[in-house]
Amino acid sequence: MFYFNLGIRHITDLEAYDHMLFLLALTLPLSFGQWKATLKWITAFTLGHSLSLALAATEMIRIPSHWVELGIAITIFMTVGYHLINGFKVVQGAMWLSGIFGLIHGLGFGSYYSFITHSDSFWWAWIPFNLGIEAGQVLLVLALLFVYWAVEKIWRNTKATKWMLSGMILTLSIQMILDRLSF
Amino acid sequence: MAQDPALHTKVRHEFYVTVTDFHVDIEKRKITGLVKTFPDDWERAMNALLQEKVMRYVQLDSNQRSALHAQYLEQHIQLKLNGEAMAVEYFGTSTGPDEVYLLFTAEYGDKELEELSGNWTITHTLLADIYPSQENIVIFHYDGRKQTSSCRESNEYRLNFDF
Repeated sequence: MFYFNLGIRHITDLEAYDHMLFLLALTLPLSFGQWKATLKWITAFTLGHSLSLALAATEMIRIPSHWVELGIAITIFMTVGYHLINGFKVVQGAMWLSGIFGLIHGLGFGSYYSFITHSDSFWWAWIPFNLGIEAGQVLLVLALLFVYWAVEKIWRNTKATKWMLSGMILTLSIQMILDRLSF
Repeated sequence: MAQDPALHTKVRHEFYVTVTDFHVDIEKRKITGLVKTFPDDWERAMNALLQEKVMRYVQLDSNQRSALHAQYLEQHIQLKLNGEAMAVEYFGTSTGPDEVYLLFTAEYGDKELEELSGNWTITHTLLADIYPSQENIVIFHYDGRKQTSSCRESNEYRLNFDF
């Protein structure tokens, strides 16, 4: 249970806001009515994330952390770009995009995960830790969908909200990319 | 225990975390502990201790470092069994490329195994004075069983294990 909770806390950690920003970007086209697509996209992300986390933590893949951090910022930018190009439509390709970008995000956790686990606890903690990440993401996405729903009810202009959010996320992600290019 | 002249880390980490194993060693009649921490975090904590002396940690010799490690560790880890405190004693340090290991012991005297069951309280504030988001993961091994939890700001760096 401890590693499950740890997974949830890592995803909902306000100090690691780049992950939240990615989820915000990913869910821009979604609503409660599209819960199947929502679940598929999040799960694809978790699968990619879990796989690369294991590969990075076991040092089967070794990528310098500054490149991973830069990659994470780029995934945020590209996700918004992808939704803008598709006019915020729920398209099948987004699930694959989510899975591939999950691979990049998981690399960022590799060194942390190998630090906190021992050789005897590495694999038995891996499943609850990743399930915790999935649960944390579901909670965050539910909160985001609720906000979208509330905005739609109050303002009745979801499209404008999504454009505004896209602009904000793009600005932040460009800032992150520039910051991370200066390593 | 081997000590490197300077501590550096190749690991870039955004999370402030340590991992501590407590083992109830029945044969030696004591608790043995091992803290794993990031070298840069540890160095920063040591430099903070040295602030008033206008010295840097890297300038210290092996004995001075050991004294500093003991002072800091014994201040920041407390162990109680059923409300009764056990003195934590620093034992040594070992350094790896990306981590520092601190070893310590706590004697439990002539207690029998069954007397060691009950409520273990651990207060672990290591590095919390440096990093407000510090989390100290604790794995407690007792009689073939183990429990894992963490000391962090939300639980005031104190946790309980019941065996």
